[in-house]
Amino acid sequence: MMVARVMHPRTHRSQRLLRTTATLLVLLLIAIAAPLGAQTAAAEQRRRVLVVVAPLDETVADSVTSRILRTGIEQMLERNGMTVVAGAEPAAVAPSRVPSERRMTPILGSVEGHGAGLILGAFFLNADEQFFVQFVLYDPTVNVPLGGVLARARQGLTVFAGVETAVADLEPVVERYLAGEYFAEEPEGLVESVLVRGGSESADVFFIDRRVGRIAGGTLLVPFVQYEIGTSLRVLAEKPGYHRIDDIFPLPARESVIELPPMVRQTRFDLGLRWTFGMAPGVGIAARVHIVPDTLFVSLEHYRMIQPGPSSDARDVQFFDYNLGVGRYILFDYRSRVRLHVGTGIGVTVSDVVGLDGRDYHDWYVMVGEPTVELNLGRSSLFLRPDLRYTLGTGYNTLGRLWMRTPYGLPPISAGARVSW
Amino acid sequence: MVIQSSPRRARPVVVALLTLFAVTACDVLLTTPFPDFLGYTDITLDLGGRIDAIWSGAGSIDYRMEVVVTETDDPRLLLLVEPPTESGSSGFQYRGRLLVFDADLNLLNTTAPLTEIDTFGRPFVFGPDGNILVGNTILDGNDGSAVETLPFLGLEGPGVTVLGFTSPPAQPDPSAVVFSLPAGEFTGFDLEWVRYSVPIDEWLQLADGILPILPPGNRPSSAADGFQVLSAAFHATDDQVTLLLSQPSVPRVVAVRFSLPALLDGTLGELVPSMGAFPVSIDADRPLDTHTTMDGFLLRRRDGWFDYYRWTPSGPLELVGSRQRIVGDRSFNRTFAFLASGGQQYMYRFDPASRILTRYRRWW
Repeated sequence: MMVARVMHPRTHRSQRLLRTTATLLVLLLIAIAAPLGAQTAAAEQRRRVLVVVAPLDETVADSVTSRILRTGIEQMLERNGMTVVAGAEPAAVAPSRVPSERRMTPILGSVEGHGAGLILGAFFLNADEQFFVQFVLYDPTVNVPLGGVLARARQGLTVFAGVETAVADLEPVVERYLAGEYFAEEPEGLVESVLVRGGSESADVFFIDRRVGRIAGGTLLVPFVQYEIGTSLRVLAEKPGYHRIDDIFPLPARESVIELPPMVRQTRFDLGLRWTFGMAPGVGIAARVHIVPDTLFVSLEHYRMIQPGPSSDARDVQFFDYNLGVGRYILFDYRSRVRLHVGTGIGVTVSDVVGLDGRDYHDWYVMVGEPTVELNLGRSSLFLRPDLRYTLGTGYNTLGRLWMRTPYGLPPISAGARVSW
Repeated sequence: MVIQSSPRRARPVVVALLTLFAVTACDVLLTTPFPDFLGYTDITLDLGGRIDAIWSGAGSIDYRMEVVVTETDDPRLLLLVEPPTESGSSGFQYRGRLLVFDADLNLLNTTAPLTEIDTFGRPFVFGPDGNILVGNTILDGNDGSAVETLPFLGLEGPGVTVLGFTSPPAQPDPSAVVFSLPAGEFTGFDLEWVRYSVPIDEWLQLADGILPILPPGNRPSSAADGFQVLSAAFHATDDQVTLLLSQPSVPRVVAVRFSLPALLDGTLGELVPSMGAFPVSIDADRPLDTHTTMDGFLLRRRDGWFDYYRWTPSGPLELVGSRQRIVGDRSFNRTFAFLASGGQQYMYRFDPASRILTRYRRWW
């Protein structure tokens, strides 16, 4: 006989409710346990310590003291329940007898953390029968020094006593660390480092008015600037003989990059060759000394032209033109492809009739404006200008007192090229 | 039907235009501001000391330079130096002096007017006796000294020297004929002329008259459209005179040739019948200096060009050959004179700034 058992409907609902409740409970436990697990992992990482021991005086090789000090530190840490992880030795400390956190921090920042939550740096120095150790606790996760202590002990017969005293001074600091009194949060909204690129090799870089370093290998890394992200920073770059860069750059990210334009060499002197429409059978040279580089200059020009005798019974005439002027660039700066400068000055054209002894013609003139368009090609340039000259008509002259121009009404127009230094 | 231009046909036109542009551009760009006559520089003479001796006071000095020449006389270069005439207490005082040179710039004389009320000025013309008429003063043709003064007629124009006519009716006396606008007129349509003869040593005014440039019924209504008389040349081979006139309102320079015997006989009605009838007409705005010879005329333009135009030396007037042009001088205060007589062909320039007189060899 087969007995059929029929479950009461109320019992069935209760079981289903129980299963649902259990599921929710499990999920709740998982949700609660996950952060606890993360907290536990973080606490575990705080107990992993990388010990860095280095002499402050890099000229003295003292591996014995280093080894003894390391052993003492590691024993003390293990006594306090911390785990020491292995790591590479740091780069040498800068040769200075004064312990300096500012000098040590970059060294610790350059050490690979190997998963440690703490780097404990011990920078020691034996000097004047005293034993100094500068202990630094450094958080490699946020690159921040947490604290430190300077231990000092009298040198004994052996180094052990000094080490023991120093480590004893360190132990309370470690205990405070473990108690959570040293705590660093990763800064938010601050720029950690600025990489400056471009400019010119060996240029000094200034943030606002503070020198932050010199460009080497095309870059300069400026750590720990602590500007707020989004700050507009005034950056200056200077190098003797070059135009200064002075500009505003945004700092858009924690690790910002500033691309400096190439620095342009200042022009102190240039030489030019010119040819003048209206004085065509000739050629001229010019030299300019820049009183203010690429801005204000003094010029000296010479142009020589020969007018062949138009018939067999006429003589050739040689023209020697000299002028001295001062000029200034008025439109666009030295980086521009096209620039404009104006100038003024005085000059004279000496007309010498070849083979005729006697007086030469002298046409003195004033240069009025001399507006010059220049095509800037770096160290060389091309230029074009009308020679706006008013002749004074003094002495034995050919032109009289008037604007120098040809009978077609055109002033002489000069075109030429310059090379600058 | 659609007609399309062929690129092959257009190519020669483009090439021709480009060539024309290149030639024109080259000419424009290769021209210098400096005079082309510098290479013809010949002799220079510093007149600073002599001019200081005439006048070293305040005020600017006016200068005028002319060459007088005939076929038989030695040419003379006359530089008129006219200091300011104001004189504080005594009012007007003419201080003008005439520096008389030969063609080689040898100074012959520094001549003053014979009387205090006389002045120097146009005309500058040789008389048939070898003496020179300057304004109303007769100068000795050899040494430039003042000889006598004629009645002042107020006619300031060019003159020609007539030694005799080749064709009947032959005139009995050699003479000098001067052409001028009526005194005080800036432009006009009539020329006054006067003929001087020289019996023994006394200049006589033999005849004078009016020579219409245009017939009275065919003239513009405005006197401003009238003419100025620039220079004149006498063609001894056929007794003709070529007159060079300026019409500033157009502006142009015109030339006309007429028979001098017909003028003296009174048979010449007018120079031309209408405005457009001048045989020579050239665009030119009030030239700064002109000089007329039998072979052509020189023009110093205000834009600095020096032009020389050749014309027929006798017979009907017309231009021959192409214009000869050089870069000249744009200065308004310099004065130029030209000598074109036989083997002596020179241009003279006087520069008030340096007060240096320069002779140039012929460039035209």
